Amino acid sequence: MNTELSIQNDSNSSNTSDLVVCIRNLEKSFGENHVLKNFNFKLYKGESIVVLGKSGSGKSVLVKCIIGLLYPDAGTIQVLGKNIPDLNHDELDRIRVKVGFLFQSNALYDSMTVRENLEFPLRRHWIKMDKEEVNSLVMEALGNVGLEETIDMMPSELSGGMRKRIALARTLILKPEIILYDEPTTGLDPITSTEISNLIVDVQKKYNTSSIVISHDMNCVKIVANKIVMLVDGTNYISDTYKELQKSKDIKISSFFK
Amino acid sequence: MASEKFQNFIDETGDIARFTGRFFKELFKPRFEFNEFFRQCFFIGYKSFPLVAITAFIMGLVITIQSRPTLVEFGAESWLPRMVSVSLIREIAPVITALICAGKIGSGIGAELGSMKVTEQIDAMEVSGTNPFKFLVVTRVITTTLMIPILAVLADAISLYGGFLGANIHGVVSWDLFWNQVFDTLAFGDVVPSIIKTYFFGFAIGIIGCYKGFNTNKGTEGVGIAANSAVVISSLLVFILDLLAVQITDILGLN
Amino acid sequence: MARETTRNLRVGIIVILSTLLLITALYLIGDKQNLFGSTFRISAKFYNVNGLMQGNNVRLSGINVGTVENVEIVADSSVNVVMLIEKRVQPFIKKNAIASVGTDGLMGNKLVEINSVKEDATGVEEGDELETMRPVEVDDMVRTLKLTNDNIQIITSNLRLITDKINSKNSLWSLLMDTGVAENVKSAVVNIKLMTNQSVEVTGNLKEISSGLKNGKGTLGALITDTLFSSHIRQTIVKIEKFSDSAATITGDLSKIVNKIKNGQGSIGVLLNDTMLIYNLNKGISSIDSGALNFNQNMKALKTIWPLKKYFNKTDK
Repeated sequence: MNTELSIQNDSNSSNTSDLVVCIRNLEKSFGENHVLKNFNFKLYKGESIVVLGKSGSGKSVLVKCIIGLLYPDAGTIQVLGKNIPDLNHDELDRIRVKVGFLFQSNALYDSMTVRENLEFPLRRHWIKMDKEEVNSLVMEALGNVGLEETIDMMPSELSGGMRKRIALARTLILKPEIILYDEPTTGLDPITSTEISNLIVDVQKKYNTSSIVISHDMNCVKIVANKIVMLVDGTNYISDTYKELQKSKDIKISSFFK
Repeated sequence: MASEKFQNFIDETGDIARFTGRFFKELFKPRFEFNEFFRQCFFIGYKSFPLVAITAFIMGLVITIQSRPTLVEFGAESWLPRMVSVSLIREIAPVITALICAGKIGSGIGAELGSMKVTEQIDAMEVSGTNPFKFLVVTRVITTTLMIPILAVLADAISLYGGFLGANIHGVVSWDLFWNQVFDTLAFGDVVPSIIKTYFFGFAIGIIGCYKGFNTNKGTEGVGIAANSAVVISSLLVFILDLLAVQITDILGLN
Repeated sequence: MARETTRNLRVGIIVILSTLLLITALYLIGDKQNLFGSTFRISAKFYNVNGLMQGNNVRLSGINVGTVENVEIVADSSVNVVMLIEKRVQPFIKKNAIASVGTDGLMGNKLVEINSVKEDATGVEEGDELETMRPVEVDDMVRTLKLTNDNIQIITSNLRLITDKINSKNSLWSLLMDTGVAENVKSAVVNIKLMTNQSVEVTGNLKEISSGLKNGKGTLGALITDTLFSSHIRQTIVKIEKFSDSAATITGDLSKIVNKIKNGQGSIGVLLNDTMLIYNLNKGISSIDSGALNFNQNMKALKTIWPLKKYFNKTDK
C-alpha cells in the first residue's frame, strides 16, 4: 500500500508531459481467475521498465491491455494522454502506430516473406507511401537488426534468434515512441539472449523510445532495466532499480535474483 | 453430463451464428483485401482442383458401373446415361466436391488460422492496424463461397466424362449419343438448384473453418482440435444443407 | 509479384473453364427445352389429356420438335394444350394435321404426337388450332358399341317393316300413300346415319383392340383377362354380324323398290314431293360404310337412273 502511495505522490511532483503510460487501478479477470487487481503503473519518456513476475502472474495480460488487445474490467490506461478502453477502433489504430509490440512468439506471418512481414504494418489505409519509401523503410529496419540478406526468405527458414530480430525490425518499422516487449528472450540460448537484450538497449538509445519489458530472464533484465516493477498476485508489489532489489531480503523478490 | 454437452452444443451454435453475423457486418466495411482474396483463390480453388477432379472422375465411373446391372435387369440399359447424369449432377458431384473441400479446405483453414491464433499472429495483425477478421476470415469465406461452385461445375463435367467411360466398359455408347441423352434428360431444375446449393456448401465450409481456427486456444494441441472439428462440423453441415436444399427445391416444385 | 501473376492466371483459367462449361450446359439444356432459339405456338383442344403436363415433349412423325407450354381446362370436356414448336418445322406441320396424346414407350412420359393427314394443306401459322384425336378409351368404346347395337336393332326392325310392306301384295301406290310407312323410312334413314358414323368409329376401335390383342401388349393385353369385358366384345361382334346380314337383305329390298319406282313412273309424285326425305335418303345412303357395297351401288343407280335431277332442276327454276 505504501508503494502505491509513493508512486502517486511521485506522479504529482513530476512533469506530466513526460508521462507516456499511466495505469490506475487496473482490474482484469478471466472468469473466477482475478489476474490483475488494483494495478498501478507509470512510464516516463526514455525510461525502460521491466515488469518482473512469475509465469501466470498476469504480465502478458497487462501489456495486452496497454495495446488494446484485451479490455480491462476496470481502471484507466492512459497511453500518450489517451485512455485506451475509451477509444474506438480507428483512434486505437492511430495510437498503435506509436506503440510497438514485440510478441513472445514473434508472430511473424508464416505465409509471407520477411519483406512482406515488414511491409505489413505499413498497409494501414491512412498511410500513403510509394514503393521506394516502403523499400527504404524496410531496409532501414532490417539494417537496425543486421539481417538485410534475409529479405526474401520465409520465416520458417530462419533461426529462433533471427526470427526474434526480424520481429523486432517489424516492430521498429513505424518508429514507435513506446515499445512493449513480451518476454523477448524466452526460448533463446544465453548468447543470443544477450544479443537481443543489447539490441533492445541500442534501439532505445537510437530512437529515444520508452520501453516496457516483460521478462523473468534476469540476464536480460540486468541489461535492459532502468527500473523494475514486481508483479505479485496481480498487483504491483514493489518498484525499484535492479541494484536495490538485488539487496532485498524479501523472499518474493530474492527468489528472482538467485 | 449429457445436459452439459447439450448446453455446449447450444452455446457453440449460438457462437457460430454470431460469428456469421460478424462476417456479414465486416463484409460491407470498406477496404476489401483483394490481394489476399486472390492468393486464397489460388490455394483454396486451384490447389484443390486435382483432388476434386480425381474424386469426381472416379465417382462418375463407379456410379455408372454400379448402376448398370440393375438397369440391365429391367432391360433399360439404354437409360444408363440418363440415370447416371441425373444422379451425378443433382447430388453426387456437388456433395462429393463439398465433402472433399470440407476435408481439404476446412482443415486447412482451421489449422492455418488456429496456428496463427496460438502464435499471436492474429494479435500482431490487429496491432499492425489490419483488421484480422477482414483480412483472414472475410477473404477466406468469400473464396470458399465462390470457388466451391466453380469446382463443383468442373466436377460435374469430369464425373460425366467418367460416366461416359464407365458406360463404355461393358456396352457401347457413342460420344454423341451419350451427351445427347445427358442433355436431353437434364433440365434447369436439375442443374440450377445443384449449383446454388454449392454456394451454401462453400460458405459453410469457409465459415466453420474460420470459426474453429479463429477461436483456437490451448496452444498447439488446440490447432489439431480446431482442424479436426472444422472438418467434422463442416462435413455434417454439408449434409444438413443438402437435406434443406432438397426440401426447398421440392417445395418450389423444381423436382 | 511474378508469382502472384502466375497464380492469378491459373485461378483465372479454372474460373473461365468452369464458367464456359456451365454456360454451355445451360445452353444445351435450354436448347432442348426450347427456351432459346425461335419458336412458335400452336394449340389443340383435347377431350382428355391423360396426365399430360407442362414441359412434355411434342413429336412430329416421332421427332421431338417442341414442348407443351401450358395445359388448361376450358370447359368440362375440353382441355386446351398450348405447344411451343421449333420454327424450323413449321412448314412440315399442315393445317389439317391431327394431334393426339400418346406415351413414350411402355411406361414413359406423356407426349403430344402430331400426325400428318394424306390430304394436302398449307402449313400451320402462329396460334393455329389443330384437330385432335380422342385417345382410345375402353369404357368409352364399350358404351359406343352398346349404343350401336341398340340402333342396329331399331333400324333392322324398321327396315323389315318397310320391306314386309313392299313385299306384300299391296300395290306400290298404297305403300306410298301410307304415311306411317314414310315415317318409318324417315326414321330408318336417320338411324342409318347415326349407325354408320358409330360403326366407323367402332370398327376403328375394334381394329386397334384386335391388333393390341394380337401383340398382347399394354393395358388392353391386361384387360383381356377380364372375362366380362371379352364377353361384351364377343356379343358385340355377333350382333354386328347379324346386322350386316340384315343390311344385305335390306339393300336387296331397297333395290327392288327402286326397280318398282322405275317401272311405275306416274304414281311416284307424292313420295317425291317430300324433298327432305330424299335429301336424307341420299345423305344416309352415301355415308354408309364402304364395306356395305350394295348401298353404294344402289346410290349410284339412284343417281343415274332416277329422274330426280330433272325434277330438281325444274323446281329450282
